[in-house]
Formats: sequence, C-alpha cells, structure tokens
Amino acid sequence: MIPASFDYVAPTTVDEALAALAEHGDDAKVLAGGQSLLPILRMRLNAPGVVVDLGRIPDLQGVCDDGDHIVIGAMTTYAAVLADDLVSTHASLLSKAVATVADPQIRHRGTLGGALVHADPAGDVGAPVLALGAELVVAGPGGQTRTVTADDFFEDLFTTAVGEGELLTQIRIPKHTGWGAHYEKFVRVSHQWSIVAVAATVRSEGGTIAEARVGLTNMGSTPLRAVSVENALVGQPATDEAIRAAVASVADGTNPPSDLNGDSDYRRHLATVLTRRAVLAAAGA
Amino acid sequence: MEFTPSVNDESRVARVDGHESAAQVIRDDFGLTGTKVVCGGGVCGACTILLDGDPVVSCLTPATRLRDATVTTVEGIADGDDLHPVQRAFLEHDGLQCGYCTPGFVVGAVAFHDRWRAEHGTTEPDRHTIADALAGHLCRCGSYEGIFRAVAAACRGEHDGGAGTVARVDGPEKVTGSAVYTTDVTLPGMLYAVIRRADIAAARVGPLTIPPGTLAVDLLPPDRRVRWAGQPVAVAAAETLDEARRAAAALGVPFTPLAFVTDPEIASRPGAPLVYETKDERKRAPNGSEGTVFPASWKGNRRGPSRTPYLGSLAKSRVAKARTTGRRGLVELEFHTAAQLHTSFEPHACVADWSDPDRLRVWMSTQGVEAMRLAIAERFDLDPAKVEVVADYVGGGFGSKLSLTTETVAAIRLSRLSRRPVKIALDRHEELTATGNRPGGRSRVSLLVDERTHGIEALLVDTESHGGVAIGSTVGALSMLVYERTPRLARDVDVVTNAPPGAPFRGPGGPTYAWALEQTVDEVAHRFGRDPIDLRAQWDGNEKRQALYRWARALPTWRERPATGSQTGRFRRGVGVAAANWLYFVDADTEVVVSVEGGRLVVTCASQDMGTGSRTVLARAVAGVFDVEPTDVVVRLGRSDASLAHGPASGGSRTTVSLWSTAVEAATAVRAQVGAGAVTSAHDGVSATARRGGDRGLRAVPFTVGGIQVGRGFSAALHVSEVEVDTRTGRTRVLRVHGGIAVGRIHAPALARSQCEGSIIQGVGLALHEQQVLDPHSGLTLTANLEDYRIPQLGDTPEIDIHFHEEGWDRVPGGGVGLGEVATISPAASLGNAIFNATGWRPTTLPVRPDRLLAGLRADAVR
Ligand SMILES: Cc1cc2nc3c(=O)[nH]c(=O)nc-3n(C[C@H](O)[C@H](O)[C@H](O)COP(=O)(O)OP(=O)(O)OC[C@H]3O[C@@H](n4cnc5c(N)ncnc54)[C@H](O)[C@@H]3O)c2cc1C
Ligand code: FES
Ligand code: FES
Repeated sequence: MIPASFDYVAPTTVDEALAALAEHGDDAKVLAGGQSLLPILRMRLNAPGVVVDLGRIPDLQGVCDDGDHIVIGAMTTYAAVLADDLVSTHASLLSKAVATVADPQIRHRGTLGGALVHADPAGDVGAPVLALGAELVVAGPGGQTRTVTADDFFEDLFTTAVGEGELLTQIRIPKHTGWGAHYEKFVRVSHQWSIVAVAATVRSEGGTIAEARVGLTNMGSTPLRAVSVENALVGQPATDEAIRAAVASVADGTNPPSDLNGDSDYRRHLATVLTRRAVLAAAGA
Repeated sequence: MEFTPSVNDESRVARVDGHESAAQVIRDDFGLTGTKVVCGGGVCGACTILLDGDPVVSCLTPATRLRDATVTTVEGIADGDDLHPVQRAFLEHDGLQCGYCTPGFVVGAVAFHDRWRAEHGTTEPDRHTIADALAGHLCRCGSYEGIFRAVAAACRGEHDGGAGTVARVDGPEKVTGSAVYTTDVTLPGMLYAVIRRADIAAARVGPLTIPPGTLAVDLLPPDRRVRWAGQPVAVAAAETLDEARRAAAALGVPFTPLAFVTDPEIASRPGAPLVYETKDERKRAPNGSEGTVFPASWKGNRRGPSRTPYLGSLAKSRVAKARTTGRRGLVELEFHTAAQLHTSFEPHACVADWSDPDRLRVWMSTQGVEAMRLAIAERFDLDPAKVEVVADYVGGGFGSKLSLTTETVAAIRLSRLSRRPVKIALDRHEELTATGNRPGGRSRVSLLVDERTHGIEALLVDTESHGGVAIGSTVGALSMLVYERTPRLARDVDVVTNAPPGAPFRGPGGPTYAWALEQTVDEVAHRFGRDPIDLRAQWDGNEKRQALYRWARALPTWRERPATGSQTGRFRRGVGVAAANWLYFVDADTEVVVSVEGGRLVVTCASQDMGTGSRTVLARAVAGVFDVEPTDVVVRLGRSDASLAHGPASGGSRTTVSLWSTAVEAATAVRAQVGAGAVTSAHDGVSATARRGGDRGLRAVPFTVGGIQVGRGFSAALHVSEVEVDTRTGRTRVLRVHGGIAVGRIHAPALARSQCEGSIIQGVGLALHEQQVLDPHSGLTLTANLEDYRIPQLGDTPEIDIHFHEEGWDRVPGGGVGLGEVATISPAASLGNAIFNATGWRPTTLPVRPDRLLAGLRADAVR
C-alpha cells in the first residue's frame, strides 16, 4: 500500500525523538496520527527515509491546567481534545471546531499537533488556535524550546514556524472561561473539509459584546484572524443588525483559493455570511 | 520488526518492515479479508477496525501501531455463531446491498452502539446522531435508509436476544466479513500485476521495452494510439504488488505526444485534433451505452445525428413556426449534465488461473458470469467448456462490469505466459478514471403546447453526448418514448474527445433525458399555471404512470407545496415532481435448476448477485413453492461453467424478471415429484430444470439482442421531492423523497425497496454533488479519489418513502418486470423541479453546486 519501505523508530521521550531527527536530518519524517502523512507517503515513489513515530511519548499527550493557560500536548488526539473538560470550559471554541473535523475514525487517530504542523489551509484547528491567541512550544535540536505566537506560527500553505529537526510539543491556550463560542463550517456534503469556516468567540456583558475573536479557515494560504472585525464588534449589542454591519468587511483584503467547490468571490461571500452566523451564535443571540 | 498483537482475541504474529498499513497486514498476512480497502485514503471507512476499542481506518494506520494493540476486525465482532445485536439488526433491516462497505459499517456501528447503550440505555438515537457517528462511512449502493433503521433498532435494544429475521439470504456472510469477493481471492503461487497507463491524453506509442526478467505484455490497440489519459498501455506482473508496481513503472514506453482535445465545444470546431481519423478507427470506438449502436455518419469528432422521429418534419415545422410567431406555447430550454462515475466499491478485479493449459479459471468482479465465460472463450479462441468464471460476491457494478474489460484480458494473458495464477485489482484512482462514466452532455428541448388546451403539439430534443472516446448515446431517443401523443423528433449527436470512455450506467441515458425533458414539462406547467401532475396526466398514455399520478396527488408533501417563487426568507422549501419511463427486458434463454441434495432444496443458476438480490429472489421463489423459509434454500450462484445452463447478466433490469418465474416453475416441478410432505434426504437426486422463454406475442421489436428480448410496454416511476435551499450559501438539502414505482409484482419487498432508495441517493449525488472533472491541460482526471469525487453520505440522505404499484403486468410470467433502472431516472429531475419551486430559479446545469445556485439566484434577482 505504501510503496517505498522506510526505517522506523519509536522514541519514548522528546529528547530521544529530537536526537533521532538530528541524526537523520533531511531523511527523517515525523509521524503523529499519520492521517495526513500516510496519504503523502503513499504517493511517493522514492524512499522517505526514517520515520520517527511520536506515538509512544507520554509527555506529548494530554491536557493540563497551567494557571491562566491550558496546555495541550501536541500528540493529543482530536477525540481526547473533544472529551476534555478543561478544553470545553476554557477554550470551548477549540472543542467546537474539533467536533467538525472529519469523522470519528479520523478523530481517534489525528492529533492537534499533527494538524497544526501539517497546516492545511482547509484544516479546522488553525483558525480557533489563532483566534484564541495560543502560543506554540517548539523544541529544537539539543532540547531547547522556544515559544511562537499563533500569529507567527502559520507561515504559508503547509508551512509553519516548525523547522527541520524541530518538534511542536505543546499548545498553550489562554483561558477564555465563560466566553461564548461557535465554529461555523460550510461544506457541500455532510462531512468534508471546510470550503470556508469561521471561528468566533465572544465575551458578552449584559447583551453587549465586550470582547470578540474571529478566525477564518480556508480564506487564504494560512488561517486568518479578522482583527478589524473583532474591533468593530466591541461594544455592539448582540443583535442581527449590529453584527451584520460589524462583520460586513470580513473578507476585505483576503485572497481565498478558487477550486471545484467555488471561486474566490464565492468564498468571500461565504465568509461574510458565516461570520455573521458564527458571531451571532457565539454571542448567544 | 516482529510483534504479536491480539487480533480478535487471538495473538497473531506480524512481521513488518515498517512501511505497511494495518489494513495490508490484516488482509494479506492475517488473511482477515473482511476488512476492505476501497479508497485507501481514510474517506470511505470500509477498512474500519477497532484499535484498543476505538474505531480507526486501518488504511491510514501504520502497521507498526498494532504493536501491543488489541485489534478487532469484522470477523471478531460476533461471539462465535452468536451475532452482535448490530449485525442482527443489519440483517433484519437490510442495511446492505452488495456488502462491500458493510464490514466497515458494522464495525463503526458496533463502536457507536456499545457506547450509546452504555450511556443512554435503550433510548433511540435520532437520524442526525447516527449520521454523525457514522460520518466516516460511505455506501455507493445507497443502503443508508436500511442502515439508519438497523442502527436505531439495535440501539433500542430490539436485537439483544434471539435470531431475528434475515431479509437477504447472503446477509450473514456480508455482516460477518466471510463473503469472498474477487479482491479477496488469493491462490498459491499467485502473481500480482499492475497496469501501466498513459499519463497523456493522445500519443502514438512505439515498441515497448521490457527489462529482462520482467513479465509484461502490451495492451495497446492495433493502431498503437493513446486516445485518453488513463488508457491502459501495458501490464507487468511480479511476486508482490509493490514489485509489480515498480515493474510497470520501469517498462519503456516511447510516447510521441499528439495534439488532443478534451473540450467538446473545441472538438466540434473545424481543424480540431481528430480522436478517430479513419473509418476503421471509428468502428472500434467503444459503446458508452447499452444495446446496439446503429450506424451514423461522422463529421470530424461529431457523429450523427441519429434521428428518432414520429412525424418529425411536422414537429420541426411547427416549432419553427412557433418560434417566428413568438408563440407563448413554445418552451425552449437548454440543459447541461456532468459525467457521473459509477464508483463501485469493489474495484474491477480479476484472478486468472491458466496454470493447467486445459482449464482456464477466472475469478472476476462481473455482472455477468455466463456472458463473460463466453466472451473469454471467444477472445482467446477457446472451447467454452474449458472456461470457468467465478464471482461469488460482487461489490457493485452499476453497469460498468457488463463487458470484458482490460484487467481480465491482461490477467489471462499473463497467466497464459507464466502458467501461474495472476491477480489484478484496480486501485481507486484507476477505478475513478478508467472504468467508465455516465457521459455528460447538452440537451436542447423545444416543447410546444396549445395555449388554451395545453395539449402537446410538438416535441424536439437535440442532444449532444460527451462520452469521451465512446459513442452510442440514446438520450434523445429515450425522450421520445414518454409523451407519445405528439409529433416529435430527437436528434442524438456524439461528440468524441480525448477523455475517458463513457460506459453503460444504470438506466443509460435515463437520468440525463429526464433532467432535460421533465424540467421542460415543469416549465410549461409553470408558464400556464397548471399543476405539473395534472399536465402530465393530460399528456400521458401510460396507465401505470396514471396510477402513480393518483398516488402522488394525495401525498401531503405534494398537496402542501408552496407556490413557485412565493417565499422570501433565507431558507426556502420547494417540492418537485418528475416522471420516468423505461423499457423492460427478458433473457429468454435463462435456465434454473432446482434439486434436492442432502435433504435440502438447492437452486442453481449461472447468474450472480452484485447486491441487487438475485440470491434472495431465487431463494424466495423456491421457498414460496415449498412453504419454507428462504434461508432454508441453498442458492448456488456466481459461477459459470460447462455444467451449468444459461443464466442472465445483472443488467438491463432483466435479472429478476428472468429468474423468478423460471425458479418457480422448476420448484413446482420438483414439488410434483416430491409430493406434499417435507423435503428430506429420501428425495435426494430429484431435480428439475426450467427455461424462461420469451414473452410470446408481446415483443415490441421482432428480434432479440444477444438473447435479450425487449418487452412490450414501458415500466414507470414517479418521484416527488422536497428540498430546502439556503439562499445565502446556495446549499440545497434534500428533505424528503417519495418514489412511486410501477413494475408489477414485487418479489422481495425489502430488497426492492432498498434498490429504489439507493436509486434516489444516487440521484441526489447526480443532482447536487457528482462531477468528473478533467484537467484541460493534460486530460488527466482530477476527481480520481473519494475526497474530490463526492458521493452522498448518511447525512445527505433524505427521508425516503417508496410506493409500489403492483398491477398491470399480469401478462408477464411472475407478474412483474425489472426495477433497477426505472427507479433511477427521475430523482435528479424531481430535485431540479423542487429547487425551481423553492426559488423561482431553474437549475439547468448539473451538478447544482452551491456556488452555481447562488450565482443563479443573483442573476435572477438582477433581471
Ligand atoms: C478523510 C480525511 C478527512 C479529513 N478531514 C478533515 C477535516 O474536515 N478538517 C481537518 O481539519 N482535518 C481533516 N483531516 C486531516 C486530519 O485532521 C489530519 O489528521 C491532520 O491534519 C494531521 O494530523 P496527524 O496527527 O494525523 O498528523 P500526521 O499525518 O502524522 O502528520 C502531519 C504532518 O505534520 C508533521 N508532524 C506531526 N506532528 C508533529 C510534531 N509534533 N512536530 C513536528 N511535526 C509534526 C508530520 O511530519 C507531517 O508532515 C482529514 C483527514 C482525512 C484522512
Ligand atoms: S479504505 Fe480506508 S477509509 Fe477507505
Ligand atoms: S452495500 Fe454499501 S457499497 Fe454496496
């Protein structure tokens, strides 16, 4: 099925994994859930070298509470994220987005870290991670770590700040306790990659929007954050009319793809419709 | 690397070198072939297993992940003979047809059921919950209604104990994973072969270079031309699939690229590159339709028109005059359809074993074991008595497996050379590129009615079929058979291009003609403020359809439909109706044998069951005569050799109508010999054979086509659909479809219903989602995987209600005719009319993608 053979290592610590990556350089490929990697390997005819499987590193799995952040291990599966109370309490936007990813089978194998590093522009977790202002912890050769803000993490189509020989280890999300959230995903058939989706989370005070965060999926080569819309929403009443006006310009300046599901104009139109729906739902209106 | 996972409670040794998928190890090394690979890309769920209790797709799970794991495959779901409640529910509610997706569904549904029961007891999950839970599974046969019913019933606890009923006699093999399909066949000493395909759309090919030691043969036509990207060029065999792949890639194929054309519009222009240059080449153009291709003249890449007239000149002059005088009674519309891919879940596959020079055994995924045995004998100049064809289980075909296709010819040739068994199974990319499609095309319909009485005065249908390198469209001709009381003329043109060939697809030409004709009828009704059912009833001479009109008028969905264009909100609902007309066929040479062996009733026929239920039809026919349960009857099907008499192919809606009465006749003869009591081993050896014979005096045409008699009279169907359109995003949801089917007596009601439901689901796909797309720069198929070629899922399935009108076919033995095709014709057209009713905008181009619908609504608003 997977044409070329490759060597396989399954380290049990992050340091071992980094050492394996350092040893094999270019040849090494990191395996998380494999839900994106395996289809890619299958298409290759030449040998992919060494596969470094992160599946046996306990430190990379699970969610914990770290004061004003929650910390999610890169190898935490979608299913585990979805079932986690810390996530649903403090970052419910992420729970809602994860619930729309593919189907139960993919969610049981696919990981949050794998999805973020894979950085498919149609992927559903980039926009919420961006909107929630997450920080991503990247470990490099020798074990030193650096923290990258979500704003700096997504560089281009399938390209992130995680460099060769590096690993994404943690996703640190500032707590958004008590914020309303909604992920509005548009698809043609009932389950599919997003044609366009909008992640919105809102803190309301007595019927008025006090703070808002809005992220866009598949409206460009990376997930986008709609900062001007976020600002325009502050102080607005949570009504259809007010929100409609505040989000009207959400697609300005975006450069979404054109493909079999629709051209970029159609996607810009969708972004406006979906943002309105997402914010309305997040504001509980 | 070696490790020992626990698989179905047994410890197994796996030796992997790090690159296999779990699916590969489970199927090839553990021999657990219940786990199926359909897409290989995580989309279809056919390969679902439980890994430490969680459902995962084994095609994207590295085999190394099985280390220390507990694995359950479909074979491990039942506890010995004691089936899991979900399996029993699938059997009783018939959540399957061909069964190829079933193992995956069963495993996924068991995971959901067990969790649901633990958390919710016997509360029934709603459709939405079930659709979400099983979102990772696809079924091309469209058994979704049965699956909904089965999962809900299992969750209600209805199948916790007891054996339950079995709607489909081969269901138990399918829900436990023991049914063996061609893709599951492995023979000792077997070689694997892979087809090398052209990756350019037109070329002249020089002599093949075969590296020394490689077993390979050339597959090019005599003129050594490549005419479409994906065309087979050569085939190479090796000890393993991986090696065969590399061997095929290593063959030296000197392509000299030629100019090509994939756009029918450009192909029609003078000076366009010619797909076929000479008369001889044209003669070899494949037939994209069923039945005979009548001669027609060519002009460049355009063939035809083939005319189907009745007072054709009168029709033409009436329309021409109405055009010049601008008569309101003339409605003229143009429609476009896209190529739809069959997408059978079991790919085309063959295992050929010619190791004994005197005996050729061929396992193949085919819709016609007997027809293929004869075709193979002819192709290889053999005595048919030396050929045996086996297709115990067939994972769908939908028309694409009716002829002798490349993989079979290639496997046989390689087996002849190597004197070893050779296996070829296409992968999904090949299946979605090279195995045929329902051609897209363009139709212009001109329908003229009297402005006062609304009687039809003339009907013109001009069609252009875009079957790639294939010809033989009958789309226009089929439109002439419906509303017969008028002067009319169809002109069918084939435009050939360097695109993959069209092939017969369930009701060839049917959904395409209906998309155009039935929407034009709807437009006339709208223009004159007539009820679309009443208008059809006024025109229609078919009594069976008249009965369906009466049924449909009474449906609440129909009675409560909104006035067209009357709604203003964001979500708009609409209801549409469309009628269908089809021919009926009989295979007069069909023979069925009923015998008693070991005290059991056995029924034998050289036919096959590709999910349409032939096994169950035969079992029920015999069981009825003896008053026993269908599961008490042993059915021998899926095999053709010299010892067996002729059996019908599964195609052209002829199988059930050929089998039923023949089996009843043979069983009745056995009953006469056995006497009244129970059948016991004392009766062993009793046997009777019956032959179907033609429906004498009832033929519409005085000849048979390959033993297939065209019957007199038309079968009928009517679909009433309700949709909801989101006018802000352009997305259409199909809420409800009522299907009325008038094919006479229904012999296996649960299975017949399932066929009709599947037709509707395929119609939803045709209407809203499915579209083969080629890259104009290379001619390569862009939609060659199940992510880019979208078929409907559980969550896209409307509520479906099927009504059978069982009268009117008493003169046919058995009292009924075939339904597989007539049920498939009008669903898409009814959805088009429903969208028009909801929005006031008529979708003329298939598929009605959200972006198209939105653009249409906006253009209408501007107008
Ligand atoms: C049928 C199907 C449908 C899908 N639908 C959706 C959908 O609707 N929405 C959606 O968002 N996604 C969807 N996906 C993608 C899914 O979310 C993938 O699982 C995910 O994108 C990758 O996660 P993974 O853990 O499987 O990563 P892998 O496939 O294992 O890895 C992906 C890439 O990231 C690298 N990598 C992984 N982890 C790390 C790490 N910690 N550090 C550095 N590099 C790393 C790998 O080397 C590889 O290049 C779908 C996938 C399939 C097969
Ligand atoms: S074969 Fe694995 S999901 Fe389709
Ligand atoms: S029964 Fe599901 S694909 Fe045939």
